[in-house]
Amino acid sequence: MTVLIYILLSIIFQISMIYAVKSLSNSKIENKIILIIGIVIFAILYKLIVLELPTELGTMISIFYTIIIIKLCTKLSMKNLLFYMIVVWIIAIIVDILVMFLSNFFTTNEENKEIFKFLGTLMIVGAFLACGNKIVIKKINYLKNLITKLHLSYFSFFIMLLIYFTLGSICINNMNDKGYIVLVIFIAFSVLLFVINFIIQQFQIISLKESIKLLNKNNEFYLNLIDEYRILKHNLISNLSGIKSVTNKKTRALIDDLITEYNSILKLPKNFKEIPTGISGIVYEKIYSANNSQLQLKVDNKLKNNIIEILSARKFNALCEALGITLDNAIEAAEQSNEKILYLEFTEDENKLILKIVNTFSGVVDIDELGKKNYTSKKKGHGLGLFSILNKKDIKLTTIIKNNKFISVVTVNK
Amino acid sequence: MIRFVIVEDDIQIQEKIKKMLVKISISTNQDYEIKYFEKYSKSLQKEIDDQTFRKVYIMDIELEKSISGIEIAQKIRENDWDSEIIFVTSHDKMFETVHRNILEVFDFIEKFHEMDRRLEEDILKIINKRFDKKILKIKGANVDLEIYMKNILYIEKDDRKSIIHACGGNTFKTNLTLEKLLEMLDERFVQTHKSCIANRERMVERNYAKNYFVLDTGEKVELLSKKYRKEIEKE
Repeated sequence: MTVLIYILLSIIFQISMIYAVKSLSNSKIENKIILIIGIVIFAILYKLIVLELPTELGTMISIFYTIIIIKLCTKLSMKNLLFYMIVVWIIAIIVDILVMFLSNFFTTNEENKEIFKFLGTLMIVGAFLACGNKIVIKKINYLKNLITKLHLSYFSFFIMLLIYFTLGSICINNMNDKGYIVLVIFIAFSVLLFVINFIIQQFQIISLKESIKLLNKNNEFYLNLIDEYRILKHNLISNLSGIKSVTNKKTRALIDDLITEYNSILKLPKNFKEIPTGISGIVYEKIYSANNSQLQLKVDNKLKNNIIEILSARKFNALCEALGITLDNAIEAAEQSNEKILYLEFTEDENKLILKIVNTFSGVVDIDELGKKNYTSKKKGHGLGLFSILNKKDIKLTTIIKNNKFISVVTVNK
Repeated sequence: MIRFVIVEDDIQIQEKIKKMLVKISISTNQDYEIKYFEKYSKSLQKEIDDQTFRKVYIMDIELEKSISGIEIAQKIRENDWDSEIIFVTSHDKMFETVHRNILEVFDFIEKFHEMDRRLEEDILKIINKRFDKKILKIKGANVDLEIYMKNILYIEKDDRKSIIHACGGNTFKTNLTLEKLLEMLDERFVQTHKSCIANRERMVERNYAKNYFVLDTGEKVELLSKKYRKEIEKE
């Protein structure tokens, strides 16, 4: 009978934990069948294996099992899944400690303590269900955004894991002397790691801030240059038009030629300011290098945050390299086409930053060779560009040729 | 049946478009259905996701209290490249060549400049146009190709590669065999030579004596064999 109650409680516990992770991460259960099968298998495993094991090992097995089940049923990334699992477990441990503390305070009888254990489990289930509350979701996700912004994600998971073990060890050892020693070692180790990491992070943030300063300075310089160029071009054409009205036929023809030439020089993107800070320099440089072309550029920026704040320095660099190569290819292909269209779209979701580059093109494309080492569709070049992006760790590139347009999507995980 | 989806926050313009659509649909004996939206909403997204009908979206670009018509078009094109999109706008500065091309917009019409005539012409063109958006999809090692079958002119075999010649001068090479490609294409494609498949609908002239055919683009392809005449000429 007790075993049955244990199994029932553990199943309720697991379902409520999945519910908590699902609510906090605002994800959908994509595969309900896997979920049901997973829970049934868990019940069997619990009866056959987990109940026979020491509590710590049993707990670890059920955590990892739940992670696998949630990963299979949702589209949550591993990073986010770990974050929410740790949050949920910390909630559970805190409730558990409170109940254990009360049980130690009110009773010394082992049987009564068992009742408190059941009560503790039910209270944890209650806490998990409370994770569906909008305010709780908002607060937890605020914490998550803060961690992501500070680029502390992976380290924070580690720290949280340590806290979990520390808190867990207090409960398991019921605050005896050994428990205290373990606790002190864990806390000292955590603090040491935290301090080291904090210093490293600070150095990285300082160098990143310097880079941002330089990028913003360059950006401003380019924008001023564009304005000056526009004014110069406008005045020059006005002056030439003025001279045209007081000169002979031959000179008028010459002036007309000059005006046509000045007007045909690269049309600078009107919405240049739309390009997100951090990559506007690259985009401008590439477009500017493509001088004399009649390229029609359109940029749709749907990013809510600054790219440099979203990505770590390593990922930002990888993005810049990939964007440079993809833009080179896109501009060169678009220049050779009749329409000469280049479209850039910047979007993001919870986990990814997405750059979509669409360009028109004209010529021969080998769809089985494109992206392979040494293959190039360009007249010049060595064919290493696309190949090198496809082999980047932090970047995912998908390319599709749709209705005579080249669509490249560069994805970077946040 | 065509479903017209009007996204317009000006009720008067909405009514005007509705009357015109009813008139055209009755005169052409076309089954139709009209849906109205004043802004982007969950129900409009549901409509976008429902791809069971042949649709024509008639949208304003600037919508009050909503994302713009261009952004709605981007949402439509996330999955649906079959529906037609017509923009009705009050600002000619909104006529974006890039958006028009990227989002495959059928037309941009100015609200206060011959809107009635332009819209009527567009709707008639769409109704009379063969609803043909069949696509040939080929998966490459690192790139996928999706091309409208109507835009494929002919495919020739060159060494180990099949070369797809498409409208606009673009050419795509693939490792797939002509036999495999013929399986993937529809009945408009026929074998004209042991190393050529051609789009019958794009041929304007066939000369079996001199072994060539001419395409509607003016290109002359010397890959026509008498052996395949019966199949090519089959109605």
